[in-house]
Amino acid sequence: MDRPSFGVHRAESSHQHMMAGPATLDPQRAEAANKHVRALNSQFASWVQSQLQNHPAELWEDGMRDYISHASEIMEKFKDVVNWIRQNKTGSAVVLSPGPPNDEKTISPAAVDSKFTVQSSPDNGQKGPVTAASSPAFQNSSSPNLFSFASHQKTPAFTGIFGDKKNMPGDSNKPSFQFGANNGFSTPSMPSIFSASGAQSFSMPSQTLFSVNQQPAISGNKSAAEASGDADEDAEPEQPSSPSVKKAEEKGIVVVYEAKCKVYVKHDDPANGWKDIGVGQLNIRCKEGAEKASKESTPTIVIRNDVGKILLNALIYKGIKMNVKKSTVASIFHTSDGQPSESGSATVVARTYLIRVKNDEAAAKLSAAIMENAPLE
Amino acid sequence: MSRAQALPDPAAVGYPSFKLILVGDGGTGKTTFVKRHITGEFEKRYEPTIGVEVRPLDFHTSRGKVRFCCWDTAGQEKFGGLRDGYYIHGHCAIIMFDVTSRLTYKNVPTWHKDICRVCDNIPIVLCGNKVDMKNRQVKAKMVTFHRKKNLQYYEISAKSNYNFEKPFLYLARKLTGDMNLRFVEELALLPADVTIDLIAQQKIETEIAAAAAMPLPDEDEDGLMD
Repeated sequence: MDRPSFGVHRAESSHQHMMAGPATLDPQRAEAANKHVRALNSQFASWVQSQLQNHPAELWEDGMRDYISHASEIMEKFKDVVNWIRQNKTGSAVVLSPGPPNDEKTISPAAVDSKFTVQSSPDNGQKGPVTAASSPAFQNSSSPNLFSFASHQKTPAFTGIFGDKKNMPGDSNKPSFQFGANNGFSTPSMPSIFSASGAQSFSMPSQTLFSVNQQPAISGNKSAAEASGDADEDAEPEQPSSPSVKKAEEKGIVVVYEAKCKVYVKHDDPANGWKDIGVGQLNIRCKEGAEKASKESTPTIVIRNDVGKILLNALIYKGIKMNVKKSTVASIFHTSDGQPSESGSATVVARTYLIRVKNDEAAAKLSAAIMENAPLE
Repeated sequence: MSRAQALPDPAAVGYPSFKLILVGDGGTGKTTFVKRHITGEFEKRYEPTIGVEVRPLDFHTSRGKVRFCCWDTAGQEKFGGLRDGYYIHGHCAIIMFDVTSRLTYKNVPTWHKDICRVCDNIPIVLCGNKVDMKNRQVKAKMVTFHRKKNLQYYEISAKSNYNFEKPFLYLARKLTGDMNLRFVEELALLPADVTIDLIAQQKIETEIAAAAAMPLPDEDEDGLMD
């Protein structure tokens, strides 16, 4: 079993090396694809670690689904790179061509294992056992191939990546040396071209890397949130409270001014200031048909709260005085003592009221409305 | 209507009157809620209710006037007194919790059990108060107790008057059996007549000057800006 696989792999390796020279693949694209794969894997590994720490007893299915989803996006986004690699493999071994597509979709654990194997592929030329170990990688998934190819193509970039990551500094030296030697031996003019390409592609992918970093992080958070059930979700949008109070229909009455307001009454003990009697809707009403600003129009100010209860029901009288300060209007109104809605039977009491409205402008309008409707005679 | 007759009220008013039991942990806003309805004021200072405070609360409905005798009970254990005595002959109830305190919601089943021990099968409203606070802890989705016990749930704010009439409307409908019952605006009869003479004029000017000198009340957020 091992021997046939070994032989086939050797052939593949040989072909790939030959194809490298006349490659039509865009180095920039290959580099970007490589960075995407690395970013996705590092984010996923980080999420796994945090899940192990915080939610060891829960299933991590959502995170797994997210990984596969992001992997599919990378495959789609870098279709050209993927197609090139598949074409390359097809040229080298017709028998293996149908295998990789199926493996990509169904064997995620294998893919993870393959990635680990690919990490050691730089040592491929030195050890036989390593060669045997890397065989499954080529058969299973195209993502490892992306990594492998990219490394082969751009030695300087490869070194740079390792340097930035600060992973396995010892290992980074050897691969660099090996691939540099190979490139120098076969094509003396290529190193400078690759170096320039590497520099360009290295700067652009940093932005791409950033965008990729954001996505996996978000997906990780979502998975953790769903798993734990402690999500700090936003409160449901408040539904406007439907009107519970039926408006009273009164014939022969016209409303000349309306406003939302808050009402205070002066405390009997001046030291206590204003006493809050609630929020309500203010209306200034007049008798229909009567002349404006006349006694016959009986201009009235009525304030009701949200349940329809009357907070103030009083006449606007001749010579009424007001004090406007900021968003408030202070004035004296006369009400019946006891039940405000019953008139005539009780004593009339004059009290100082303070009406607060939305802003200074509204206060000025309210004051003007009262003055305009106050009887002149 | 027969329930109203059962109520032993010597000073009976000429319209239906129901005993409403108001319960819930201390500090959830029960007294503030009732005062908001009765006097319109929003009580900022927290003063625990001792024993019980009975306050009459009238509403004008499409079926005429209705009164709720609100038995505003002590929420704090040490001021509780004889709770069963407060519950006896109750026609309806409101259980209040504070959405900024998980503990007050967890204690709702205890309050419900207390009421049901004495009052069998009365309409009950569950109220989550202080919903306009930023540090909300009990989300709307987390409130599920009312579904199991066939209670009505309202999110309210005694401060901003959000939904503040809904609990009473629900109870009024249940008690009258009329699900189409609505609150109506109190009729504004002809206001008191005003006769201003010179002496009254001077008095008015003096009062206005005094009012102008008084500092304005604190501008709390009453939602007048919308």
